[in-house]
Amino acid sequence: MFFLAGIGILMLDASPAILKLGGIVYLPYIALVALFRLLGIDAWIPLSFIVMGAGLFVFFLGATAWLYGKFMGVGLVTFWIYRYSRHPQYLGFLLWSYGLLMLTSILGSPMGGYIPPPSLPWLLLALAIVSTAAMEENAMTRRYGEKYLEYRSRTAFMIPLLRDISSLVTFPARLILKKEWPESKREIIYVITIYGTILVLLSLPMLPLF
Amino acid sequence: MGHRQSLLAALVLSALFTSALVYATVEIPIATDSLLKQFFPDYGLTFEWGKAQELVQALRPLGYVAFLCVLSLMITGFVINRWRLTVLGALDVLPSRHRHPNA
Repeated sequence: MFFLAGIGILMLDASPAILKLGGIVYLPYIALVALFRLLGIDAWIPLSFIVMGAGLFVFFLGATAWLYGKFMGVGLVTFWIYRYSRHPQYLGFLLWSYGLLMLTSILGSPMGGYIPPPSLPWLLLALAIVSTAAMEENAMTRRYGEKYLEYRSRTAFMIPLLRDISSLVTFPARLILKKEWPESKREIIYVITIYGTILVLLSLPMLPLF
Repeated sequence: MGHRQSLLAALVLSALFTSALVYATVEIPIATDSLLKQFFPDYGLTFEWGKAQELVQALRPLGYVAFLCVLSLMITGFVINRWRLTVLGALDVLPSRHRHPNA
């Protein structure tokens, strides 16, 4: 798929640094691996499989709840895993692909060549999926009204985080929009572009790594 | 459909979708690689690095065009409210690196 997307070619480009412009996505993983290293365990590869497995499990739970809801004629699915995450299938896919990115980042290249880890494509993928989820939320709000707003207020967007961490993560969006949630396509694209730019800028100091 | 049948059907279909996700992620790049090898020689296997570099140079414009197509797909999905197109475009940039089985 990389080849078709042109990124296979970009990987061999004269400036492969482009592909590393999403390096900030490694930070949570590096922190986690460092914790294990304190215990004398090299967890990079095993942890990537755990993340991939967790992603598949979340995807499976999300798909099961959604399908069960559809078969039972439930309009708005808010039970089982949907009590903790509003987009478990997207979350599952992101975790799965994140684990895959971590695994491929540490694998050597054939004949000692250098293939940069493709963190920017993963970042683009994540931003596109988050914005798609946000668009779907607005459609759900139009369809279910107050019922969906109430569900949204008590359930995490994707990852159930502590309220303080969640506030910190959504702070730039609230600062830009002066409201809790983007309500139009333009606002979603605007917010995603700002987040993308911030994350790429934060990745610049990480370019020498990997 | 009753409660039990619905649950069973949901479990079976979810397991199927999850397996399909794993299979597609692993197998599609390999299948694509095999298909493309019929049209583009793999100089890396025969250690002809000079020729490999020339081939990459020749294919680079195609790569950029394909990359722009994927980005256009994502943007078009937003513009015309077809989010599935955006997801499809996003999946095309899935960070998988195909390694040759012999590498």
